[in-house]
Amino acid sequence: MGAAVMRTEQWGDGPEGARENADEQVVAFRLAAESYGVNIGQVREIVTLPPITHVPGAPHFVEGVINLRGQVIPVVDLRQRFGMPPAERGSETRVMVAEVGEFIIGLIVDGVSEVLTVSGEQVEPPSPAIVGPKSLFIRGVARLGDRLLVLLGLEHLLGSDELASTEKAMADGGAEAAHGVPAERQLAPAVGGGAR
Amino acid sequence: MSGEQEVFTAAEWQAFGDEAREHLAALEQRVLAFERGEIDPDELATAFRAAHTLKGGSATLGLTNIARLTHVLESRLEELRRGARTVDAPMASALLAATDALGTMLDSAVATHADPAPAEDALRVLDALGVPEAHAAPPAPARPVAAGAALHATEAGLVRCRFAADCAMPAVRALQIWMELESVGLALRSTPSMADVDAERVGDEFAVWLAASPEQDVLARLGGLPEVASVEWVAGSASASRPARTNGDAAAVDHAEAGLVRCRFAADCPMPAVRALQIWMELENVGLAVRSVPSMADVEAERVGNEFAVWLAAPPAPDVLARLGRLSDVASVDWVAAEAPGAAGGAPPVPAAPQAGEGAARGGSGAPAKAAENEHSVRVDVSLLDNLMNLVGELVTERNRLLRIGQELHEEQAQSLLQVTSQLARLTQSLQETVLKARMLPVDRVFMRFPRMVRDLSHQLGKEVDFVILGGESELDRSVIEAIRDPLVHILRNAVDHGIEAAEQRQGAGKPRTGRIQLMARQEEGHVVIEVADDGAGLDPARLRQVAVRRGVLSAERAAELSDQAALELIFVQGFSTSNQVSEISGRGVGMDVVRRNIESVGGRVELTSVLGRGTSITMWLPLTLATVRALLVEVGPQTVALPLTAVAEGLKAGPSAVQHIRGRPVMVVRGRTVPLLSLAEYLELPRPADVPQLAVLVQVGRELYGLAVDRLLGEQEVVAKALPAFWPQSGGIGGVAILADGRPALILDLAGVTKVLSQRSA
Repeated sequence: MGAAVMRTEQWGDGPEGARENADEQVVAFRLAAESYGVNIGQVREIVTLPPITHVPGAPHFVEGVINLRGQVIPVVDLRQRFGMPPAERGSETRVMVAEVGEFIIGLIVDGVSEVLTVSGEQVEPPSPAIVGPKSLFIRGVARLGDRLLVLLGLEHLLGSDELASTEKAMADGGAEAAHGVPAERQLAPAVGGGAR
Repeated sequence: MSGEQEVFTAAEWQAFGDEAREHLAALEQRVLAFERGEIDPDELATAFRAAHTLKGGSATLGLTNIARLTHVLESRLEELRRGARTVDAPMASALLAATDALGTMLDSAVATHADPAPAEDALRVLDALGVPEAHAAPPAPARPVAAGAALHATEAGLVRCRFAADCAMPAVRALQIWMELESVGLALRSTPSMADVDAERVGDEFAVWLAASPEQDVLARLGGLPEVASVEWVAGSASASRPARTNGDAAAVDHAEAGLVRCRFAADCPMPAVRALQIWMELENVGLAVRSVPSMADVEAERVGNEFAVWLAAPPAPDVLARLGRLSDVASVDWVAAEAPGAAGGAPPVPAAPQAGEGAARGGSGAPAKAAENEHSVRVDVSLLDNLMNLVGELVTERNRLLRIGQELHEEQAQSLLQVTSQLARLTQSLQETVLKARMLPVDRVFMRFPRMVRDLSHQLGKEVDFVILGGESELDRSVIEAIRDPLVHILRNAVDHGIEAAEQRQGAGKPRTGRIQLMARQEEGHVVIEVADDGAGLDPARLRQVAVRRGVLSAERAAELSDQAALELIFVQGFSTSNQVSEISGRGVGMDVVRRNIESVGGRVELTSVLGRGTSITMWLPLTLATVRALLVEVGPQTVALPLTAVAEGLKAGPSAVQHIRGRPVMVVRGRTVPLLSLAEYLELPRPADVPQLAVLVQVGRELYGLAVDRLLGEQEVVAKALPAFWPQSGGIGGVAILADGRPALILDLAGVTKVLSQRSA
């Protein structure tokens, strides 16, 4: 109980709120050539990639839904989410099932390597040089010897304001605007407004 | 009751709230019936008991203000029971205002665990309506409705409860004990009396006379009450186990008064049931009859032997017994006082069990069945049922996988596996059905509140409406019940507001002044059909066409082309309202389009018929449950999707010869009807195949037909529907997700949504 509360405080407040000297366990995974970490408390399990059913009208980074032992959960392609180029999926590809706010979602990653203990003094705030969609999700960088581990906070992953700004970025960029998002924005008021 | 506060758990508050709301609903229903002049003694007893139980419960929790208002309400009901008043419109309104106020107070009490502010207005109005002389009289405790069980008189006796030495609130405990025993329908009277309990004149003992020996668990429940030190059952005739005299000074035991009148009929009595009824009425007239053996229900069913006995609350005057003795065919009449525990001297003659006779089947009437029902039902948290449903769904999915594996195995291995899986299939099937049944509720749960709504509305509009509900016992899944609530409210409001005409207008049209609205539910195979019919003005297709043109929904030419039925269907078009003025009641911008969408979103269907001047009827077909869906599985590109069977008309061969184009859009001609051909691939955001589709499924949405281009039909299946977990705004068209036998998730399409999305995309 106490630990869970501490964890919430730690992550809820983002990088500023991180406790200086608290040790934390993180699940380390790969995206392209980079290493990332997510607090183990947010990760429910890691599974190999099951068949994914595409859902029309979903945001571009939502690949679809999967069946996790009878539970239907949406999966997010983290590469897509971070604006990275898509990659061939292989035997290393994993779905990291994580709790994000009230949702349970699957995160598609290139591979999961290990569980690491990171101490507070190893963590530095994210460099202001990081820009782009990724910047919202990074709460710090852990220096482990000669390795760098980017620590992710998942809270903003599904956030609606973030969603909106991504859509805006996309609309501005124009490249992916045709991916069903405009239709959904157009429909949402009709559905919401009409239903009393 | 004292204002002392007890610490009750949140669950206890919740349980109290749930139960109290049921009592309030029961009260409201009865009040509406009373206003219509339907004052049935049983119904009155039910209302009275609901009020009494609510009063007791709220007093126990220290909710003095709720108890106060309930007390006044109970007093008015008591006057009604005495025949001192009738329920006219102001009285009904005052009673209803009180139940409303109680509802609000309850919500607040359950939320805050504290006594809410008093509802002074409701209290004052209701108080002012009191019949004067009755007002000073202390409220009599409710007598239980005579339960119909054929009881042996020897079973009667006394429950004696001793309170702990440091018991802070003996009156509260006494009330709890009384209510517990009353709820099992057995309590006859108490010592000290309930009037004394109300006045907090209770010592360290409390005794209740019962008409029959209680079940062991009832006694155990009493023993489990806080501050109750001991509970003892003393059978009325068991003189050997006579307890010591009660030592509480307040407990001046006077129960020797209660007793039994035993009447024996002549051997050749041709109509014992008639005689029994006469005896009952005679005793009831003097106000003493508590219950009879055999029960009055048995008497009505003519299940009476050669004896009939009536329990009385007090000894009757000698002339009453004499009158009974003079009735024809009555051979003998005896008064047998119930034995007072601790009474000195020899035991009075033990009242023998009256011979109920061969015909007096035990438990043959409705009341004991009801009691049994109570014992055999438990309150279950809804989330528990949902969980259970999910687990069963998973089990079904795994079973399907197992069946599939079995089909892929070699002959010998398959045989034994097949045996196991077919057995498993049977078990899961019945498990699934059982769990589904546990989620079913009678539609009355929703219907219950409508009489009140229709009454208030018609009063407000000055219309005379006779509202009839039929088939309220039909059962639907919880989730469907929730979904029909708002549509029904809307349809009924429409019927009162726009359907039923003013009384003068009706008279002028040669109709009865009082309009009639009928709400009916019935079960048809796999569906529940709900129909709202009124005998009002009906809809005028000509006027609907005009309005549609004026609102810019249709061009004048298109409007003229519409058939009358199609013109009626215009009311389902978004933004279309037929009322001349937007009224308080139904013109809130919520249209029939929302009604239709809500019904369709749960896989249902709405149809409308109307005859100008004769009335309108709206019929809804609803699936029994949302937890499973009968679906046609189809393949579109790499994806399998489920189309609910309620919407599927048939599978059609498409191909180049069958598909034509009108203004660049593909259509098919099906039996002379031109049907738009929609691409499911496009809806699913799949690359659209270049070829002309070879296969289409004909589906019905509202009254429209559509062809849906698909690649392959996989067959019908009952699938378990799960909600689509989505953190993004839904664009419509997805009713849920099913898990296929191979473990893949498949979308269950909501075809009304699909056609809407596609037509908006192409627009």
